[in-house]
Amino acid sequence: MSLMKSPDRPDAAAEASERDHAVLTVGDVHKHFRRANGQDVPAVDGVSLEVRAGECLVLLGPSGCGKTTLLRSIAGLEHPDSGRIEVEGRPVFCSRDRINRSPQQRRLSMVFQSYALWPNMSVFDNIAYPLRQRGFKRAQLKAEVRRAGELVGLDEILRSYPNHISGGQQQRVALARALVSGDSLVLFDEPLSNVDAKVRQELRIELKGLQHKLGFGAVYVTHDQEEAMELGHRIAVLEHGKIAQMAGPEELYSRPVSRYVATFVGSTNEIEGTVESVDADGAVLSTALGKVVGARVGPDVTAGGKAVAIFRPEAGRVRAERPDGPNAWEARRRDRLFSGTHSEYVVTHERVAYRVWSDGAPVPAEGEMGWLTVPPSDVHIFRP
Amino acid sequence: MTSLPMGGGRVRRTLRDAPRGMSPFSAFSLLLAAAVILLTLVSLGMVVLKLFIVDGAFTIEPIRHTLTRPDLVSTIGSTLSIVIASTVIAVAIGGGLAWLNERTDARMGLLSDLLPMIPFLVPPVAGSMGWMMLLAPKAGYLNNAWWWLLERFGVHTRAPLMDIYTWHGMVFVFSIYGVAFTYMMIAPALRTLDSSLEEQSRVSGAGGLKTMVRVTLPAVMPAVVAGALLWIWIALVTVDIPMVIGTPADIPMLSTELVSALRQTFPVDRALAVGLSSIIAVIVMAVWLVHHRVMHNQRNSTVGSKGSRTVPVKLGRWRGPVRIAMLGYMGLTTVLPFGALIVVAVTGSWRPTIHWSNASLDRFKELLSNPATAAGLRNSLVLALVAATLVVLVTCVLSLYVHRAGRVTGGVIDAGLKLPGALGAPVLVVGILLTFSGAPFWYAGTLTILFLGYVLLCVPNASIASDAAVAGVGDELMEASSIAGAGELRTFRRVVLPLLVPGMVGAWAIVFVRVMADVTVSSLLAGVGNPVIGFQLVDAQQSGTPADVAALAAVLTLISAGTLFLAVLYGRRKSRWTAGATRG
Repeated sequence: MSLMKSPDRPDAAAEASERDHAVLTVGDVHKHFRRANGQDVPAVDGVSLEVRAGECLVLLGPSGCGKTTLLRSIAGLEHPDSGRIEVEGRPVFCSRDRINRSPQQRRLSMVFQSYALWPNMSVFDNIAYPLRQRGFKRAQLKAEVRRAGELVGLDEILRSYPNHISGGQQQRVALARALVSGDSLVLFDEPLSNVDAKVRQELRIELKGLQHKLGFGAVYVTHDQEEAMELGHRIAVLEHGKIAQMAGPEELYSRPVSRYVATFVGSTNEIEGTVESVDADGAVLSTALGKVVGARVGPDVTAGGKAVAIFRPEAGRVRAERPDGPNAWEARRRDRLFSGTHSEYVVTHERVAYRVWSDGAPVPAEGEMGWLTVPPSDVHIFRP
Repeated sequence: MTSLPMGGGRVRRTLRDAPRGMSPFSAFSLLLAAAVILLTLVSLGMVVLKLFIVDGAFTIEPIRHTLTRPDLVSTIGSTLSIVIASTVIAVAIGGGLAWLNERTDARMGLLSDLLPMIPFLVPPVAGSMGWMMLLAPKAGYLNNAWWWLLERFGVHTRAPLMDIYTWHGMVFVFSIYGVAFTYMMIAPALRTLDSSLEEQSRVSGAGGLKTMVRVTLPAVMPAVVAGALLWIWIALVTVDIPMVIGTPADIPMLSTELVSALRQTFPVDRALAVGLSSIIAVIVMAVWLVHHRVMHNQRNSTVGSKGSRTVPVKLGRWRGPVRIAMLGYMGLTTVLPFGALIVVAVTGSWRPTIHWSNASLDRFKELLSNPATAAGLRNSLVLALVAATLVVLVTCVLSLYVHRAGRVTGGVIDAGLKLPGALGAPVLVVGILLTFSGAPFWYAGTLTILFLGYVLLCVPNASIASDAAVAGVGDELMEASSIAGAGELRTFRRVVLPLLVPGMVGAWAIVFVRVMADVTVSSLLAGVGNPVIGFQLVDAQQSGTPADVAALAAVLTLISAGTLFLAVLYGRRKSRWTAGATRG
């Protein structure tokens, strides 16, 4: 039942069917906290989701959106008010049937934000701990720990103590400990937030590789949208305990369903205004910049109501000459920001700054008036 | 799942669908908490009961009997005056030492850190006897040395340097033991005070003294007040120093009056004991409440931040003399009294001139071969070992439970564990005596009743230490263990307990020393058939020779100091893997 027990990969069909079953099902889970003043705060508000074997689902959101509470509820570290949670098809929590398994009964693994390595045990003993709970014999246990150590590149330091190794190595120990028991579901609670940027990059790539190799299902909590995009097969953006949108990274980025999701995933320019008209082709907004035409209109946008137009910096341009077509607004070109991979211009209109990418075409000199433009197909219109 | 052939079916077979009710560990914790809290409440209730009900009828006779005693006002007056005077001195010395140690370049590494703790090495009962031998008006070694010195300068006088059997003498010994507590509270505040606050004041044109008065002192004021209150709270219930020095000096204190009401009057004046212990409890509780208040406010206003810098003040040419003064303080407070005890024990007599020709270890041999003292030592050692180990284990389990329990349950249990401290030991010891000495227990004079007294005496402090230790372990370390499949007992044994050991070794040693050298509980509860060393010491002072007393006090000091020393060593060794951080 443990790590890489069967090194020979089954044929593709068997693999596909194995990968297709749900390792985690969460149904309508609610959890509220009571503040000291007696006020009830919903932390998780009716969340339902499913994670398939080999899939990585990222829970993304700002602090306080309920993502960690949801993860801890799955782990059994929080007691939800209601709902149903199944691991490998087996109910571990069900408010209706009064089932609530303890964390040690749920047979899942978790990597904590603080790594939670036991400082009184060596790296070896830390990794061996879950196997000891499952009654592994000495020789088998040794072999499994070694294999897990090699897998994450720790074989040199198994005898060291956690406080004597680097942050990146500590992170690998936590990872090895989570993977060694071979559980089909691994939970990650912002595991990379304590290591520096370079190590973080390395570990993300390794984590993806390990998941591909071992095929565990993962629920990964983060507030870092870049990390979410890189790691997640699907991303659930949480807002006030509810799933605002759950989709693959590309869809989330190019077709956000609300202003909240659009602004949380990637950088955006926003223009507030009043809706002049809405039809099947899009909506027209009257704003301080002038008329803004957007082809992607969110729900509940009605003529006469307030709305916000959103476009991404890479969709916008600044031009010296007035371009043809709609969405060309007079604005002043300010600084040029070079980020290595591309350049951006800051454009201002009535003290509001917009950021657009450079495409090499002529732009006004710094401080001169020019034209800010974006194709209507790249403009989203949402309720504010 | 390609390479991980663990399916749902296997899981379903191996795990029973057990509903999550109360775990055995939680039930055990609750039972322990109930036992400790019940002991406190029953003892307290018994005192209250005896305060108002005599022979089955409601009465306020015990209260009237206590309040109408002619010497009550003077007893309360001398108690408060000694406690408050010693607090002022202890704050001045403790604060000064803390400042020199934390803020100047006079600090001497590890030695400086140990310095204020040194008084703990000589237990108060032994230290008081040492000071008595040094500063008795006629035979005191220091007084004789003082006269000899004055004679060198042609001054002939028989006025002592200090007479220990006076109000001043009491205040002096109280102050020395108070310094450890005031230092303990003030030093951390000075350590975390950001130097830039002081530098800003200097840059703004204020001098060193003005900066100290206007900036440094106000910033650490809450800690100073907390330190003062802590010592007042402890000094009020101290029995050992008043018993050793106050009794021959005829200076009554509330704590000694209580002992004499139960021990030296015949028939035993229970009404007075109940009344006096209630008065002590009320005063102690008031001090405790103010202390609690100050500590709470202090926690909300952090002085400086974790990353703040402290730049030591350069003392220049004063550095040498200041260091000598610090070392001198250490010598004065420990080496002198311990030395006096050794001299008297070794030479076999306490006389103004020391007769080294009589020196031998016979006193110690006699002491250990005397069946009564041997029994006292054995009883004290066994009680101290058992009480320290049990109290520390119990408080660890309960702190962990409180840490994880809900706000209400946790709060109630926590308050229950701290209650004995808030009430002060005397009222609870009297309560234990009233509850357990008669029917149906008949525990009077047994080791069991002593043990119960020690538990209540030591639980509050040990529980404060274990709270801090548990808070340092970090929730995720425990959660990671249960995710890895370990149950609560296993998590406690494999993860929590090993991490608590470095923090709890100190608490264990302090409980051990406290029980070993206790006079408070044993003077009220020990019986002739089951002697303990603290009680024997006080007894020997009245009926034995000075050499017997000195030898016994010296042995007690060696055991206490040795235990503390070993605990420090063990704690340092055990914490090697936590050198970085206890949190994962």
